[in-house]
Amino acid sequence: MVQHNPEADDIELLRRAGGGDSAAFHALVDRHAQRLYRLAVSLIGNAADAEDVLQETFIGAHGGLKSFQGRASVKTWLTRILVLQAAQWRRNRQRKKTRSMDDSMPAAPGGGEAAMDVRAAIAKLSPEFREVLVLREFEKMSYEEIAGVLDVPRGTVESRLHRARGEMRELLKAYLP
Amino acid sequence: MTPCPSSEQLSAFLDDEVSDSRRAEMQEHLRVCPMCAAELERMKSVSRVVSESPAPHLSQISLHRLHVRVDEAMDQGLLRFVRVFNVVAACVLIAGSSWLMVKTHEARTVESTTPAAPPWVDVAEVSDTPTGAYSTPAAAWYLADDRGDETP
Repeated sequence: MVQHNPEADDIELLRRAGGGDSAAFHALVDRHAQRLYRLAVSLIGNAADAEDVLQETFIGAHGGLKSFQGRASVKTWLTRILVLQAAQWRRNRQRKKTRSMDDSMPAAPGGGEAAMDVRAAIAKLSPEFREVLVLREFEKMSYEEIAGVLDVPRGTVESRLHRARGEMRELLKAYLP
Repeated sequence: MTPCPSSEQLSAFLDDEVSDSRRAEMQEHLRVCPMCAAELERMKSVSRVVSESPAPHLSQISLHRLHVRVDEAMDQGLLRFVRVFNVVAACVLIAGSSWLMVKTHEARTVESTTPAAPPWVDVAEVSDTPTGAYSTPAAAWYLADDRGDETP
């Protein structure tokens, strides 16, 4: 039985996209959009801005196709671009001094009250804690992968994740045994 | 019993991010330490609540918008390339035309400094023979040494 290798598929699509095959790039978008959207919503806190960040992520990825060196997986590469775009969004928002995350529109609909509370709790974390938490809990990335995406030492990931979970425990007391 | 690990180490243990030897030690410790076992369970609960929370869904309309936006960006990239190419081509054309104009002007300048022969004379190439190789009778008369004051 032939083993399906998603990473190999991604690499092939990326290679073809780099050669000008726009259909291949659109296929990459389809493969990663939902996953990256979830991350974007978790990092940004509202659906509309998350969509914008998602668009900028793929536009940035297309512009940087030739810079992909294959040292990380395509998934990690795209995730890093998203994290950087989200950080840029935060900087722009700081400059414009728009409304805070707490006042943001609710994130994407669906999931009920508990889901909203989880998202609201994540939104209350500092950006650094939020990043490690969502990359670990949603993306199931290893500490090494998270360190690569965030460009921080592995020990920093370990420390931040532990503290993020501690804060989440306080914020979600109502839902924990 | 080994000393209780730090909560940070428990968090790493939860994520299977400790070495094999350390994992074995901690597993043994958790077997006999109810406090650490309870702390680990609390961490698992937090992790479960977060990771199992329903994921926001990108609608088909939003996905379509994303593809359209990506297409626009691709077209802008191509347009930028075409613009740059056109600018380069225009520069080459201007440079080439300027060079041609300069060369043409130089050629005309050389022509204008050379005095033109009288229109009634076709200057022939003179050979070594006395009669020469004159192109016309008028040229032959003009160049002859013994014509005196006669006109043709």
